[in-house]
Amino acid sequence: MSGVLVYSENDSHVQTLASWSADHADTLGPVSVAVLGKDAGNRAEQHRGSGASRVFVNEAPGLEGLAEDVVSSALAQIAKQADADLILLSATRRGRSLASRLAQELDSGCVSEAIEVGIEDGRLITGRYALGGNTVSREVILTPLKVVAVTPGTVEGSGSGAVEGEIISAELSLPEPRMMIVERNPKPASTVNIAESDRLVCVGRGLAQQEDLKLIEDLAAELAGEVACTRPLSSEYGWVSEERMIGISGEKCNPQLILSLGVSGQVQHTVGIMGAKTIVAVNSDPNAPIFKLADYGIVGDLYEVVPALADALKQRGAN
Amino acid sequence: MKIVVCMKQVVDLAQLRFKSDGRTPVLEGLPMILSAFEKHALEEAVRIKEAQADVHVIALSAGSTKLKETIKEALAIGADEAALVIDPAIKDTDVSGSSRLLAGAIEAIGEVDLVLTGEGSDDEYSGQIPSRVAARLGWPQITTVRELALAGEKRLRAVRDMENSLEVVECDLPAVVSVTSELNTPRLPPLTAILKAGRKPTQEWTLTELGINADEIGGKAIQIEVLSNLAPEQERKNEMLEGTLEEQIDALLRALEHEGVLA
Repeated sequence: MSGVLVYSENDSHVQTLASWSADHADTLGPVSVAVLGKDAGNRAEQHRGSGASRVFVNEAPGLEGLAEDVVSSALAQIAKQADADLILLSATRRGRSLASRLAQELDSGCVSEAIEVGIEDGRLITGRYALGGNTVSREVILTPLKVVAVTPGTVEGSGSGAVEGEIISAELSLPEPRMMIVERNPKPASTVNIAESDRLVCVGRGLAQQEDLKLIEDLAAELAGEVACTRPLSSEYGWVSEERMIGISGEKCNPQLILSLGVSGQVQHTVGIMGAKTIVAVNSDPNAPIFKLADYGIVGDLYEVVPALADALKQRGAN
Repeated sequence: MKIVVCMKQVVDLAQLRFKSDGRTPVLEGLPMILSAFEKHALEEAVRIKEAQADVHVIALSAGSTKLKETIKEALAIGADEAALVIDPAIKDTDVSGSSRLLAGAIEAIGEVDLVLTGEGSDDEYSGQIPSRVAARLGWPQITTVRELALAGEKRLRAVRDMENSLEVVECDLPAVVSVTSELNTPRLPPLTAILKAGRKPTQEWTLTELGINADEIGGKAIQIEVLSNLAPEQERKNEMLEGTLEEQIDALLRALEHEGVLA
């Protein structure tokens, strides 16, 4: 390969991807980073030491709204200037949307949410969830240019490939943005990051009413863990905040322990708990698919098991 | 106003089984259904139609002849018409080829104002279709939309759900919009609508009729080689705890203690 171009609107994702790429520069070639939009010149400074030999900067006002068609035009031009044949993006929602736009503009193959990235026999191999999260599809992109959006947390860089990067002002010819941002409102500050919690108590449709969440919260408190949920409880019923939702469209978690309560075990949810060290399932239906994934299972009513378990944990703590 | 909703036919993953190795999926013989994510897009289109005059909703899909049956659900939910690209070559295509088919059909339908898609499909969930279709058509794309409003005939306003922020955006039509599951709750069609669905008009094209060569969507046009597609290795203990509730909980705590996963 002739080179890598790294871009994300998230500066820390850029650093990780650039550092990982620099570790593999023998195979992938020299690393470039693109920093676009507002304050790009200043933001570029922090990427000089991350492993990129060149940092391309452009502050055109049309890039500020981050409209995918404008950003993808910018990246296509910079990739050419940098002689990059692999473009690495971060698989945020914006990054996924951008990756496939860029890939189409370049008539290239794209993996829009890679959960594995590696090099085997000089080829870049990616893994992504397929069949609704039931399987992982390991793939090679065949086109000369390749676009991969990497799920945050998938790769780490050693930092040993750090070089003093050169800052280059990229000359670009950009289309007028057609999407106008009226306002950008931060979501209410998140109170919890369940993806980083060691112990989770995850509740599903087995919970009959919102008031009963108290039982789940009490158990989570005894475990020194956090409450999590399946999609219906947040998106449909609104009982639990969306930042606690686990699944293909929510958080993917790697806790030491997850207690799965009244969760049937549909794959759209379980894809988010595969990384757990220990899975405990409680469900009144002995045939619930969640038991197939569990290390320990109890067939029973969560309304009986949960308070009893909370009591037992409390006594354990007291002794 | 003409709204096209892109809907994917997928295997019913709830019925997916694996070979005896526990990792190789068996897809043969599974029933085909409409992917659930796209039903939120269809629901939104039908709600727009119910709220204002002169809206025509077209459910668009590409695939095998089974589509003729599968798409009836979209007609029952409220699409006015189905538009199908049916060709044996489609089974060998990838996401780039699929976007070629959909963009080709959208151009053949003509004078489309708005294309709606799901945030991903139930099976692949790559989310590439809205971006690729928009790029092929040269239209703007507004992805992961959780609120949508039309501002007059030719403009839309949407709230995009990014991880940490909500973005209110506007753009002129035509545009491609992908929607999240938070946008609405899709209706279940009444039985009478299901019975009548077969009477609604369906237009059908083969690749040739759309002016597309099979080698544009398969063979050398394939952009991705799949090395393997297997369930991840999972080594779970699958130990069911028996006995009274007290015995079960006692056994559980001892096991968790042993594994060192308690605080």
